[in-house]
Amino acid sequence: MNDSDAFLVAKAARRDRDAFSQLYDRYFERIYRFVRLRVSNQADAEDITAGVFLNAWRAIERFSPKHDASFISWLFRMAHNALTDRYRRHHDVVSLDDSTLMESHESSEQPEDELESRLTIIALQQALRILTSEQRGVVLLRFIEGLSAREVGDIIGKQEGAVRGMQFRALEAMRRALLLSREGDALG
Amino acid sequence: MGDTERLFDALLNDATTGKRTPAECLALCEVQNPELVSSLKLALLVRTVTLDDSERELARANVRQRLTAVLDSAESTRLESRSDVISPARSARRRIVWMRQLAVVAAALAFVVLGTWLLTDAAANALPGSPLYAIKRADEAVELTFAWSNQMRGEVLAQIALHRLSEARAEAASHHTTRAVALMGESNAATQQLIDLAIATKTRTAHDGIINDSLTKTLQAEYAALAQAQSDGQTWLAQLLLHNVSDQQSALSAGNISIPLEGAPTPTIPAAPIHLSATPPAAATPRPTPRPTPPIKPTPDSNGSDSGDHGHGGAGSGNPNSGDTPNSSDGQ
Repeated sequence: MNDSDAFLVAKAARRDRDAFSQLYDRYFERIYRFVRLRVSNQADAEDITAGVFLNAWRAIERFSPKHDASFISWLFRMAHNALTDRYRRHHDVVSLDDSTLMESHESSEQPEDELESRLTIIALQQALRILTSEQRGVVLLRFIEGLSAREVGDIIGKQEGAVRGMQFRALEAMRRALLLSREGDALG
Repeated sequence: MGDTERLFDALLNDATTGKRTPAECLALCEVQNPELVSSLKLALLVRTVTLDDSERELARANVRQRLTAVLDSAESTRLESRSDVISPARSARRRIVWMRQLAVVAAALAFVVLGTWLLTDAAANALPGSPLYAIKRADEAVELTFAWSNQMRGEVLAQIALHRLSEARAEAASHHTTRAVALMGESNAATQQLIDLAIATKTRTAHDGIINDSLTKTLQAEYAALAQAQSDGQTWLAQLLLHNVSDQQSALSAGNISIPLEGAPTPTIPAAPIHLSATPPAAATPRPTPRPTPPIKPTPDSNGSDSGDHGHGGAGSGNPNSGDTPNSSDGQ
């Protein structure tokens, strides 16, 4: 289970399903989360995620460690492209619905609890909802997945600087939405 | 990258990697760039968002199941498309399908052969005017076409001659005179062809037993028919037969062919000339040929010609052209 990505990818490229299964177990959660937080329901998220891994299996011979930053970045790029195609085809408002299950996994001793006490999860959902699909993608990749601005740029096809600009604009938009939400709550 | 962005990235990275706690990052940010604190707080908050575990695990199982199904299907398709990899079960299925097709073809062929045989058999006794008569004639034509030896051709010609003779007698009994006359003509034509074949065969090779047997059978049947016609009082039919026999005997004599006719009935030839108008029952009585009734020629034996078959001795006993000439044997 400690095999490197490169080793597993090389085996999977030789049609080793066990190796690909290990890659799946290793990266499913991140891909699914990235997709799930950009579509409105679980079924769509499963469809897109399954398509991502299926395409990865079919095209794994083309994965090149020299040209691709990492295997997970490669998967994220396919997921991003699938979401973009879906948005263009269906003109779907890719958004989080109220039933999207989100929670904080930090312990109560963490300082975020103080923030969380003021910013509820629902407010955070609403704040994410106001973002454009691309902004949301950047926010998720940068702050949830912990990728660098360069890696995110590779995934979404933007320059590093453009990614930084997008992330700050997204955070500013979310901050305003949260302030409005708090003011509304205070008035209410 | 500006200082603000560099600081933001550094603090975010420290929090992500655990180098500093989020609180320490926020405190440091407060010191170095207070305007950046709100953005960093929000980024750290977003970082804590995750999905419900049960939903995630359910989705993991669902997606795995779908992937497995697709990959299994693709794998089986790929294997089946390889011509060099055929499973024993698939090979057995192919063999069964092939045998089924073969059985269907064999059954269809057997049905056609059996049907044709039954139809031909049923048509064997058909008379002109019957729906099966065309099949009978077609069968004869096919047999004649595919008779690739003189012997086979002789047998088919004899069969045709006998068929026409039998049909002519049946039509005569039914008072279908016109049909009977036509059929007698066809019978005679077939017999003449058989005689020509016998002469040609004898000229080229030697005495051919099969052809001569066919010819003998035909002539005996004619004589029998002649005798029957005489006994039945069908004088016009008897005279037609007599004319045919006369023509055939002339041809045999010319070809120096001697046909033994042992056991053939001795016909009683009516006195010539026989006027057909006196006997045919039907109105459509054929007019006899204006030529005089040819005298029954003696057999080559009695004629003095050398056929080489003198020893057979059948001509004298069963041949109507023997010493019992029609004129002298007029019993009527």
